[in-house]
Amino acid sequence: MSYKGAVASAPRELVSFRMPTELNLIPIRLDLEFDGRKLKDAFTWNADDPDYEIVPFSKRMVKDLNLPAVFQPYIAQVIQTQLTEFRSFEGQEMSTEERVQTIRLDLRVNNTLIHDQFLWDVNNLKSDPEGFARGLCKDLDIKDPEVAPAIAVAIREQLYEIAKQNLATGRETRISKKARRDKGAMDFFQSRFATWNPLVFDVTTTTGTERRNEWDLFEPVVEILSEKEVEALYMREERNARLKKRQEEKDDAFMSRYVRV
Amino acid sequence: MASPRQEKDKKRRRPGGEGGVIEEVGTGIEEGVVDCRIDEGKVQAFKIRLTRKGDAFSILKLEKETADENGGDGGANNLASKRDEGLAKQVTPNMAKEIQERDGETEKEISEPANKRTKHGKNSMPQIVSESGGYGGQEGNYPGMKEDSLLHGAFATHSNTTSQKDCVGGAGKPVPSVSVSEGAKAFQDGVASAVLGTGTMQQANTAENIASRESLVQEIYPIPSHAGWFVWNKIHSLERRSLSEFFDQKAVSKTPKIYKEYRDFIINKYRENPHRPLKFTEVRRMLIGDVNSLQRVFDFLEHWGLINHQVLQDSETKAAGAASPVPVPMVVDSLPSGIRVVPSPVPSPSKTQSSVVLDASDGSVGALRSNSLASHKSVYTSASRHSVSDDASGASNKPEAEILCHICKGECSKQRFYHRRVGISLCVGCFKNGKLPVGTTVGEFVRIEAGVRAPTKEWSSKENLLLLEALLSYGDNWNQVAQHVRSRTGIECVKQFIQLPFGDQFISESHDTNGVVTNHAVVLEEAKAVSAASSDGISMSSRVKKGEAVLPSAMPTMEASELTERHDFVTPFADSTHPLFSQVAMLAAMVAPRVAAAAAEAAIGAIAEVEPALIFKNELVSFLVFIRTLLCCAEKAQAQEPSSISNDNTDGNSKLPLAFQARVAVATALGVAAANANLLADQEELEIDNLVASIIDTQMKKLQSKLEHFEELEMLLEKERIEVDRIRQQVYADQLRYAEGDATYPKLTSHEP
Repeated sequence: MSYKGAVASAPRELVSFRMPTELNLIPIRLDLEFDGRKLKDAFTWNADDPDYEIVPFSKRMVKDLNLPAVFQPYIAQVIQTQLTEFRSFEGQEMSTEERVQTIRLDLRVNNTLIHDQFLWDVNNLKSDPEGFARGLCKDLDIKDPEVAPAIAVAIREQLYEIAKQNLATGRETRISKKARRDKGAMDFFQSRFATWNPLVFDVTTTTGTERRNEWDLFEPVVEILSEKEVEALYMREERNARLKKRQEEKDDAFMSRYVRV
Repeated sequence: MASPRQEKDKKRRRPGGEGGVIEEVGTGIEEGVVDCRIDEGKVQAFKIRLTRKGDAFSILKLEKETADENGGDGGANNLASKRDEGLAKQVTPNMAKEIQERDGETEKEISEPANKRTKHGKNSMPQIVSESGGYGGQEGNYPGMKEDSLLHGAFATHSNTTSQKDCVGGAGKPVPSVSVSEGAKAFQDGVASAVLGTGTMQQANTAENIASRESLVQEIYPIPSHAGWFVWNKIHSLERRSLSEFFDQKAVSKTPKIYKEYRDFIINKYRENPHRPLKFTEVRRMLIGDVNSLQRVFDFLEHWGLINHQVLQDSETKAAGAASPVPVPMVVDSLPSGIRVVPSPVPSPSKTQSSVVLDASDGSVGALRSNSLASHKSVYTSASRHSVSDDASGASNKPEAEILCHICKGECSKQRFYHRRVGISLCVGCFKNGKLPVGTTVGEFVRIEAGVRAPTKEWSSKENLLLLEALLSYGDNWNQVAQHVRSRTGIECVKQFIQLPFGDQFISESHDTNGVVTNHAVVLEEAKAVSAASSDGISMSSRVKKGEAVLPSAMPTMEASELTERHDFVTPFADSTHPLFSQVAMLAAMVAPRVAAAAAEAAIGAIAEVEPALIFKNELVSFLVFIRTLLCCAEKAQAQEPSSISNDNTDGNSKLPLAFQARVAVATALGVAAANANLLADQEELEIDNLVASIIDTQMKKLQSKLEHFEELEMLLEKERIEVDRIRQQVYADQLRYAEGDATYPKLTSHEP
């Protein structure tokens, strides 16, 4: 039970950018639509793996999922784009100073709906989203084997987003609109639950026990939906996604049309 | 912590101890220091400070001295001589402190955390009792045993009465391997000597201690021996090493204090109910902090068995218990170093624990067991409850097990009919509809209501026969009757006689022999009716015909006939001229005759119980019979079978004192009224339920329409926003154009002229 990463978490110590978790796994999300077929998937990619493995991976994926071969380049491209984005940050440095933030889970996997939130030291290189997700599913007695990886990916996505934001502090202008919107959601939660700022944390008076009335907030809620409910939820998700996409397109168009001028 | 030991004259040695010294420190608190030497490659000496207050022991301190610390005086010899001197080698508190500082890791302090104690306010002094509750039982020295084996022997002992042979045998048991650290190892050694020391001191306290200790045993949270390093108010080096993140001062929110808070909270949380596995997700929401660190703390505690240990043990013992009926002897595994006493907030000692305790104490002072002190009554009831539930629920012996109807498999725990011989239950519906299993008759079923335990022991037919025989020959001399029946007391005989089905049940059963199972025994069952009413001598003779309409086989139509004939029913007191009786009669007429019958019977039963003397009067019995007759005739009158009994009954009735009649009448009236009220209440409740349901429904509808409305609104807003965006862009474009236009305008004008 020794933690080799202990040394790394010295205050104000800087490390080169990576996922703030024990394993340097990057969350990758696929959301493709081609020929009326949709592909949605989320998984993690080890940043230490060489990029040329993407092509074999995508080929294999296409084969395993019985997708038309035309999907393959798209998949590879999407993965490559997301990896390249990650690589572009790698040259920069990030702090490993403790920073506890609320991570919110709000996801549906097949017919399991999970809402949860908890505090996470977003700069701790020893954190283990996969282990946490596994434990959560075990504790909640969730049978669906897809849930735990999905939770882990969801956590990783948020960690990644936060890490990117932390890099970008001070260069606010370069944050894309999307990130800003996500950050807005985050801020909302921060203000609402008064994110527990370790710097304000008064060791002498505060206890490690959360206030009783907040217990509910940090309790996971799991719903097992029926097929019908899943259907309805899916429709709603689709609608929201469409709206969001349209909005983004509009934003992008706006940006490309007017900001560049 | 350790009180001063300057009063040397007060100290006295215990003969046969391992050089132990016990001193008296005022008010019944004895304090002793026992030291012993353990030769394990390195000569080590241990001192254990123990206190005894009354029956409770506590180990205040374990101190370790290594030979090197003795200034090279020649290890073992020096120690041996020291031991002989007894007192001389006691460590003064200061010295102890020194050692503690010098050898902080190995020096252990076992004491109850003050906060825990005061929290529960139970014990005013630290008490440490091994969960075996009995290691101290060995008397004196173990001749011929080397200290090494003594160490292991002490680990393995678990019973008060273990002979030395047992002890030696136990020495063979593997001490749970501790791969922790030298500190932990040393501690283990120390505990071994502590056990030894306790044994020495306990010579003085004979059996009387055992009981009180055992009562304490119930409050113990066992922890596995390998987690013996755990102390409430300290953080062990093991914890420091395993969870270094809390101790390297690098993170603001991770301090030893926070760690201790986490740890204590989790352990306390677990101990609120040690038989339920504590889950991380549960704990997580109550603690502030990085979930990853929290999870590490949780895993650490779980790994060491500080939480969820009992759960594991439970499942193990359950598995073991299934194989062998003998309770597993107390898990030696968690013996000496698991010494902890925490007043349990939830008084729920496990069954295994108590049984083990019993196991440990048998042969010695069994009479002191609190279990054996239980009154006969409770033992009896629990035994009978067990037997009843045993055969009531078949294979499962859980008394709370849900009882299913044999026919429709519906749940019928509340009210059911139970067949003793076959051991099956029927729900009321099935029973009334005559859906009986093959080979059973209605009469064999007994009605059982939840909460009301079935009769303790059923009367065998032989006993019944004996009872009837005795009644014939001795009449109402119940003592004689009881003697005749032999296996029953007088009261039981009376009760059985009251409950005994009479007359035509036997007749009808004789009818049943031709294979027709009639339902009329239900009536017998319900009203415990005695015999058919005879038309003569009773004012209801004219209504007998009506009663015939409700003949037993027409049971399902019972309700309907009740409705139509309600006013025709004759009530037991209808013939009375007494105004009170007429009142009661009126009341009784309001409800179904069976209800009235049940009320009357209950009334009589209650009166009989309150004043058993009354029941010894022949009159009462006959009156009872009379009432039953009357009530029963309302439902089923079999005019063609006027039994002689009813004649007797009417005679008996006239003999009855009016006062008694009045009492029965009043009681009956009350019962009837209560039944009626209950009915009304049920109706009312139903209505309320309906109303509430409709309210909820309406509210739901309202919410739904609101939601729809909001959705619509959302759409509108979205549209509006898009529109606004569009306009904004438009404006921006216009501005641009304007700016461009501005820039070009002068040029244009300059060209124009």
